Amino acid sequence: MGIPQPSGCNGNEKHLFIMNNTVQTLKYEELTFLRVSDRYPFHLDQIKPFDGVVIEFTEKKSSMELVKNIRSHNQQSVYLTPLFLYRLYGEPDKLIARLVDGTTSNLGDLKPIADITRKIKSRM
Amino acid sequence: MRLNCLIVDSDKSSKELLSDLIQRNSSQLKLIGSSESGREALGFFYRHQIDLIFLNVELEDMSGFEFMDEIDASEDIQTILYSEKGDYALQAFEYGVTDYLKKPFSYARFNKAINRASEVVRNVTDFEDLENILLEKVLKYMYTREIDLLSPIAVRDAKLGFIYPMLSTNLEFDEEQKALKILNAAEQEDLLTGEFVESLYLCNTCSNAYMHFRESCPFCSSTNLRTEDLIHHFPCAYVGPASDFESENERGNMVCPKCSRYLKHIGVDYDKPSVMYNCMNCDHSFQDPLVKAKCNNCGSDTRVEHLTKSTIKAYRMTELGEDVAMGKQTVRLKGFDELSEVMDMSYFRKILQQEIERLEEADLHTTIARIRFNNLPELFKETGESMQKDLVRELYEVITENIPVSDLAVFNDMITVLMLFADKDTGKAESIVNEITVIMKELVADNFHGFELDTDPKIEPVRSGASAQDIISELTENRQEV
Repeated sequence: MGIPQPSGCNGNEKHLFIMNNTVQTLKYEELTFLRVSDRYPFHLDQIKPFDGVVIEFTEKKSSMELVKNIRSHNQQSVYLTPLFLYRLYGEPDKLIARLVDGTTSNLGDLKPIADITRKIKSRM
Repeated sequence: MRLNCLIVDSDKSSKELLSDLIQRNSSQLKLIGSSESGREALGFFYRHQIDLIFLNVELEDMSGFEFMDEIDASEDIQTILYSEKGDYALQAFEYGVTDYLKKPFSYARFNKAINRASEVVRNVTDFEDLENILLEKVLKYMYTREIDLLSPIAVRDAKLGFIYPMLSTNLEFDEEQKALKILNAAEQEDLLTGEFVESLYLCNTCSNAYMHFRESCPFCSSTNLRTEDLIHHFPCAYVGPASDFESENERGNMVCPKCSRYLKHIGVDYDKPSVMYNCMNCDHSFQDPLVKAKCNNCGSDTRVEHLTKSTIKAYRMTELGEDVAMGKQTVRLKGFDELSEVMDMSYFRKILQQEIERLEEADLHTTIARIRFNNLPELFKETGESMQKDLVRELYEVITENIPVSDLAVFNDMITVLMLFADKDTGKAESIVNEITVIMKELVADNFHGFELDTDPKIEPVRSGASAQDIISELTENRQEV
């Protein structure tokens, strides 16, 4: 599985780039997000070039595992990365909620998570 | 990282061979010195920062094991023990040596031993760094997210029952209690300020918060108890267990065994002032059971009075904390070795040596004293590891508060305290030691249900011309192992 590169994205419009069936990239203006599913494992180093990560929430346990793995990574570019949960159903528990920077149920509107990401990145 | 090495070997050829081997591994090892006798090595050891000792069991003036007793080998000092004649492997590992080699040994075997030592030293160093790295992570996380308050979340499957989101996430279950130590140390370093959230009791052995509490027999510790109400019959003042009042002829009615009257109304003609416990294991009856807490994680069973109370706080970042988060300052937490000050033998030895030199120049009296707490290990067994340290620290504080400021106290090991009384003869020192002994006995009895501390004091004048180490050795010889 190749590492998707944000440089492959262009334009300022919202885009969904399907890299394979488990890892995708989302672009919003100057920001590029990695979209992953909590059901499929991926290499955490893939996160580094991205501005943030959107985790598709399917169930609590696997989401928690993924969020914990990211937040306990030893490299700052991974553990400080802005994390967002994308969920259409289900309720993440309070611990996951405290470890991510926000949740969204609409990937068509990335502005809220982009605003949060910019704020975090300005202090990194 | 190169390890500073010391060779202690009375056999010259063996010493040279080891020097060669160390030279061949100069990327890992640095030879700081070598000694032919244990006594000479001790002097060298106390003057240098040694990481690894190559120690022959068979020395001219003492055995390798006696040498290890003298240096009070801690986990910071790695020891590779070797011998030619006898086989001391079992004893060596009981002493916790890094490796034991039987001569002659191969170069490959030697390499294996030094790799083991390097790994241990690296792990110790890494462990110390871990706390600082984790705190830096937390501070950076709080800063980038503008988190005003790092507050704990109550979580059922957390070891402490609480989780600090970014911090506990980085810790395995077995080490989650480190979160409290890290945050506490950060508060002491003015990187965070804490606000009280909750207090809780943790297992003294493993710091787990989930324990089950129940009564146990004070005679055999069994928890298989039967309870029975104690009844006080007002008219005749008879007091006894409810079974004494059971009527043989009229089931359901209670009859006083003393005056044969019926007991009808609780509060009017009788009451139930207490409960009697019957141990189903040893058949003892008693009114005051011991309440014990059994840890669901490690299984240790501790009397509730001995449990240590911890405080859960929420934390705010200080300006200094922000500076660390922004990379303007680096984190160096102190205080993870809680007994470093209490057991600072090198400082005590240094001051004692200065006193000896002072005695050589002037006609003065200086006294050294030792108090050994012979039965403290019995208490340690019950209280668990974390409380052992608290207890030793508390005893140390009591001692230092009750000796003149010009005097010095130090714990030589977990059950032996040494005191140095400058410009005081043995008479004066003895009265101070007696006073301290009484205070400590009272302290332990008050805190541990009348536990009677067995103390063994020894008071000696400091002799000019002697070495500090010799004086300490004479005073602490035949000490009990803990």
